[in-house]
Amino acid sequence: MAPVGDLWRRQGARLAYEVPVYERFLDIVAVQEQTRVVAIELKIRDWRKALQQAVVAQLVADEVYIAIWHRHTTSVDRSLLAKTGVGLISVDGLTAEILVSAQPSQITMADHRNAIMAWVKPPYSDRTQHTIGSAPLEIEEE
Amino acid sequence: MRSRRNDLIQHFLAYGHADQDFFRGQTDLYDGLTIPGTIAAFYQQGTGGFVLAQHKPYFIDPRTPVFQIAPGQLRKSHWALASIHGATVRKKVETGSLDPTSLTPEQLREMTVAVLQFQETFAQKSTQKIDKYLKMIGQESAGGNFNAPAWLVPPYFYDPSVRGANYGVSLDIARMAQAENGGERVHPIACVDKRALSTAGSDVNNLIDDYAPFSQTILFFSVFEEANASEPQLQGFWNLVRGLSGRGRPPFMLFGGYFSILAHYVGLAGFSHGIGYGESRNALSPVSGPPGKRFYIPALRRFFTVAEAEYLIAADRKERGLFQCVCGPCEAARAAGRGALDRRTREDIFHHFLRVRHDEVMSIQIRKLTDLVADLRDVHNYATSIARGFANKLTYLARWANAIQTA
Repeated sequence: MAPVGDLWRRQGARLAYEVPVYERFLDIVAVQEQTRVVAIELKIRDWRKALQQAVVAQLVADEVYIAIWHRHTTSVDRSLLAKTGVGLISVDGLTAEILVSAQPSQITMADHRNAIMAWVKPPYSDRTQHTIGSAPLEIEEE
Repeated sequence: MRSRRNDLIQHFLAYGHADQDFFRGQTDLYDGLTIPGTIAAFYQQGTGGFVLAQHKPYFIDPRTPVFQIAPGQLRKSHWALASIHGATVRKKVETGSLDPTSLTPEQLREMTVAVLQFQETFAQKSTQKIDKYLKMIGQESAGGNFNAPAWLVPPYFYDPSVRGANYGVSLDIARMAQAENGGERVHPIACVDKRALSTAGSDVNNLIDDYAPFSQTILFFSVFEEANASEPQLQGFWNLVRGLSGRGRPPFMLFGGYFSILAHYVGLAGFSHGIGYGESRNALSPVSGPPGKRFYIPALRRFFTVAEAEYLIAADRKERGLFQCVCGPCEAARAAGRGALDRRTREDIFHHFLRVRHDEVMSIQIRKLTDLVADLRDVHNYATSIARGFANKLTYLARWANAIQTA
């Protein structure tokens, strides 16, 4: 998880892990300069399931990636990525690499996106909202 | 493909004790109530008062299969249910899971008589709170004249197979009940695993032969979710309905959704489901309860999580605009500032679903099956073209269409 987050941390983004959105959690969310929200879904191998979750995450983020263990990235259908606008990251233990850049989401809902930004606050800030979407879940941010 | 358009399919709702307020305001959107035996037994006065005041047909599902599991998982309502199954069953359940084949013919008779007697006398013995409920809907006391259940449902057991011993016990119980209570009012439940539907026709044919003597059979396939069912299972269900109907015994589906509505074209007489959930059930599970928040997309004929539904609606918005619901309850929610699905209340979502389900039931009056199947294919092709990462969640539409055309 850390090397994937580092791709955005190095650019000065703030990160949150396991962010509650609707009925589930986004694995990683990066917020850059209060202007752009990037969501990343992590899976070892099951890229189809990751993609299914990623397209839903386009509701709340400007860009969405799936991050897959490097040995399995060759099986990912690149044409499906192009059609959905979801990007692809290869993960190899200590490093991560963007193989396909995400396209801007066409279905982002502004209020949910803004709620994500509010969620990913600097350390020690209070949160006013505990869930983006409907699920009343308690989570801990790393 | 053989198409048939009869009277409307009977649309029952599974009664939930927590949903009384909701049921009260929607009586024109459903035909009858299915009352779980647990609720009928444990909340007898409250349930009876409410149900009888609705003046709707109802029947009580004995839910006997819950005793086939370890008693440690049972709750108070299950113990009340055990008591209406008679002293022998109650005693056996106290010591372990109930093996149907351990019951002697006399004990089976005792259980059957006890369950049917509970149902027969339910209306007379459940009137302590009736005046309260009649007053709530602005009606006068009915003077003790209340409807008995529309049907008597004998106790039954779950068997994974149509050839198993428990299946045979259930059939014996049904025959006994029919012999002692007159044929027409006894509607047995045939409760087997969904896999029985896909066994190349032999189990389906056995079901038809075994249950054709009953005026109506209530079908219960454990964990049969229409949207997840395989094509052979859907075909088996279709052929079973057609087979029983062909013998002049149109069946009733205990847990059904849109595919069951379509099965009316081959003779399904009625179906039941919960509000917002409960379109399938594990026969052996003692657990039920409030669902997660889900939204029924009318064009796609099934529930999705709120996130999935929002995604599908957003993906469709700039295309054909098929997935945005324009039913009255949805328009009212939008007008009240609850347009986004995560802002909808539980009541908004229930009202929407029941309104849409009612319209689906009515649609089979005016449309041909071939047209509805063509709609399934069209919506499947469209939905998978706009929601490409989601295609594997939408394959059920094609399976339904294929099953209907090839059964």
